[in-house]
Amino acid sequence: MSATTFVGVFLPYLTCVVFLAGIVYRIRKWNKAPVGKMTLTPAPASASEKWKQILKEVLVFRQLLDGNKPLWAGTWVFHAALLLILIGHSRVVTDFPRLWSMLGMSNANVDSMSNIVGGAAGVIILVMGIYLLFRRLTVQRVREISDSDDYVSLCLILAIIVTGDILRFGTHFDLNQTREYFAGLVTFQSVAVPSNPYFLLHFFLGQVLIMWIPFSKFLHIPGVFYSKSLLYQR
Amino acid sequence: MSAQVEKKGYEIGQAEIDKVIAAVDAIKDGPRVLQLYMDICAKCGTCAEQCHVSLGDPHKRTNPALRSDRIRRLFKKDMSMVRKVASMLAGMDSRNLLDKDAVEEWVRDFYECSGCRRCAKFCPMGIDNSVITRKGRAILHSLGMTPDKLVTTQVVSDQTGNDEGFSRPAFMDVIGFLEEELEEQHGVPIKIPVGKVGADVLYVGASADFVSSPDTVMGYAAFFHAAGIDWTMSHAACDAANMGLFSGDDPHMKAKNKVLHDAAMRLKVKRLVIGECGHAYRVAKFIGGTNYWGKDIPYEITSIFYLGVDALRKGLLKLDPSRNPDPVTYHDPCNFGRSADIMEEPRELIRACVSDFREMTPNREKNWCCGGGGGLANFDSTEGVKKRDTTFEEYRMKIAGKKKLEQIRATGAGYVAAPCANCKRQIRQLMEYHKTGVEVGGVFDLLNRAIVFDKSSGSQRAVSLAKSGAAAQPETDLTGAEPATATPSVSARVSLVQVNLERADLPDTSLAEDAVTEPELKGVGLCTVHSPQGEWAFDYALSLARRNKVRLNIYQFFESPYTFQRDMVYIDAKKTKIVPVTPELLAEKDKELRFWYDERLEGYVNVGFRFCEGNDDWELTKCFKRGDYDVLVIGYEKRGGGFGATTTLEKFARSFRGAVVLVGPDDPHSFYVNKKAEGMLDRLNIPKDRWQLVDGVG
Repeated sequence: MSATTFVGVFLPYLTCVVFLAGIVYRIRKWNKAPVGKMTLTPAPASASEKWKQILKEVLVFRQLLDGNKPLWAGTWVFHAALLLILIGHSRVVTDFPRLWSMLGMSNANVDSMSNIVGGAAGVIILVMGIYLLFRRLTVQRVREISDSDDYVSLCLILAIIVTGDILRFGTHFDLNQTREYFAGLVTFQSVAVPSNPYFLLHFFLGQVLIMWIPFSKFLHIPGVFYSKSLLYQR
Repeated sequence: MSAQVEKKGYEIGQAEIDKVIAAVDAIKDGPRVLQLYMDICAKCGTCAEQCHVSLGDPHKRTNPALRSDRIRRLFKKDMSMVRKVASMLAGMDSRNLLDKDAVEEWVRDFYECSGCRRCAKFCPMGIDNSVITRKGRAILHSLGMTPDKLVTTQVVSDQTGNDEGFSRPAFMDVIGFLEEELEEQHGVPIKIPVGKVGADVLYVGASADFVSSPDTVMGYAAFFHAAGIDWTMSHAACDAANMGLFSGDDPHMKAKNKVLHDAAMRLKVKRLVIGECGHAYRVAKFIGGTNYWGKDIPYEITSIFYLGVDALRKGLLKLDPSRNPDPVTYHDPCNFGRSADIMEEPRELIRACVSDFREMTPNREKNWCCGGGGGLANFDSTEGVKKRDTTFEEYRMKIAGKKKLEQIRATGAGYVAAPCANCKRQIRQLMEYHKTGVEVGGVFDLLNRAIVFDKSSGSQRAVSLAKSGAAAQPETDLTGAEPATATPSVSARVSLVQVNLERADLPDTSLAEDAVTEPELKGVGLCTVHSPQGEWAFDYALSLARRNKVRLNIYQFFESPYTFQRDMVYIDAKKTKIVPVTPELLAEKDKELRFWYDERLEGYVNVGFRFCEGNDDWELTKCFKRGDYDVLVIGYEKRGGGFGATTTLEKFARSFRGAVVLVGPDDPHSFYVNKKAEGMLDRLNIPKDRWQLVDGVG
């Protein structure tokens, strides 16, 4: 099995299995674990209020806005760009012609919007990612709590960002080819794996990251909802 | 209680290390909160920016995330492949993550966190580091490594039902004293019912209040009286403080909480009301109430602040804010602010009681911890914690209390209201240590000063009598003691041990003294101070007693180790042993004191020796009222020095109701007197050019 086949044909299925199994295992474990009362006051008055507040805090990073403004600026922008980029990646996998026609956008419109927004997000997230790494290395109170896990995960993300930016700015990238490829993956049909080495590297690192989520600090993505829900229980 | 109770020392071997590792491993099937906290920290460092300890001493180990990492790293030792590879490359074996030294450092580190939960307020992931701190402490407790003071307090509490070790007679003695004081202050009789079955409210605060904040307790009594609430205290349940929350000792936490539950059931009250003690309310309401005893307990658990505000809004309290003219600020105890949502109620009460209220910033749920949370306020020495480079007191004064000090100074307030026994002790010490001259007390102290009673009609009282009903019966204690009445009885073992040196075989040399000039003095009191100034004070007091042919009463005030009102005491200066108080022990300590002064008295026999608790102000007031002395002589060691648990020597002298003479501080013939003493200088035999009024120091 060549590296291309491994990354392009075998690994995606493994990634799916590992990620889904890992996340389901975690969530089930959290759900089954005993819960004590540990409300942090003042707390929202009802369950719906609680989730409203949690959503608000998660969306604007409310705590950091209160307690650590420089980090808030860096990390909120980082996460917002990440969200934009993830949404944008849906077009790598497939396309939404009906959505575009509903919005009255032509293919050229969509492509140029994607170029501008996606390109900007790709640059911004790189800058913010470097800032976060710089901060981790230079701010004493952050440096002293950082260990191999923190550096490896940040560097992994940066590597994914860099390869992604190369794909966007550096090489010609054929979306039709990737769409066919992913359609083949989903329908278990053998389709040619795109041969662009930067694509393969980007795709490989991305899959490593996804597999690592249930076993690392990236658990903060689902975990933050659980954690805040414990703090704001009534 | 015949056997001597010794605190277990600890040795750390492989077995202990394995125990720690097993306990940390067990987290993977433990509470959801711990499982989450092991996984989701993003190491962003925000907690370090928002932690008073971390800011007070920006040192690696004070970083909250790093403290929590002590457990986190151990938990993840088999989980993180990256870390495994990294440690393999570094030639480390993951089994060596924990060694003997590291376990000892755990004690140091987990007892530097005051568990105030401020980090949780600012953590973007919602991590409450105090949960991990408590887990760490719980593991240490299972190894017998909890700091000495916490262990002995729990032992005392297990044996007597309260952290201060009040026996029933001692408790009733205190109640009697408070009732007398209340009547003197307010001009109307205000009773403190004890053990009254069928009362509406069972009131429980921190037993430490009886020792160090009697004004707070009087405030409660005055409040209940004015609001016409049918209330009672209980000796069996006179303490809601619960060290189990701090030590991580769940069985103790439950057992201590059961004391309250049992009393509420036995006394058939409708409400269990917790006083100015933040963690006590948190334990009683949110941990005990619903978790331990079921959701449908037949009584309601609530806070004195809710009752206070309710009565205030109904117009039941007549308050005169001009009686509290000093600027007052309010300290939100973490367990009221961040754990119980009681923030506006105390403020509403204070605003009604004082003329100048000022907020400190930040406040409410973002308030800085006093620096003594999580039980730390009671730790003074190193408390048997190895690997500690400073005593707990220094740590609290210089590091943990730094933020609080800045905050209070910025308000310009003269009084800090801190409704929590922990906060009160910490802030009081902080204010003295840094010589701010700021007074520290509770919210109900202010209410006690501001409340106005209508002396002629007594109508407020009538309400309470009508409500209490005729069917009320005294509570019978579990210990089988006599049923309590509201009238204090003089206890079998009173708090003051008086030993008269009636030595008939010695000639009374006082006859040979100078002619008596003014025979009106009834007695001379002397507080022992073991320093040159103490000797000068002794010489002066003795000559005064001889001259007037009156009794010299020598008061020996013991902080720990000799707190005789308690049933269990520390017996050595290092605080490693506690023993029960027995008649033999009293006799032995009495002998020590007598021998110390025996030769120096040169045959003067009209002398009383009295052992007192560290509760100086009251004990002296009690003895003054009883007529033991008309002038109190104290060695003036240094300006602004502390006196008793709560005040400076100068403040005490100025406010004391009897005459006070301070001898020193620079030479044996310099006397500082208070106003009362100024009026009787002749009788005190103080030369004209040798005295001055106690000045404003402290």
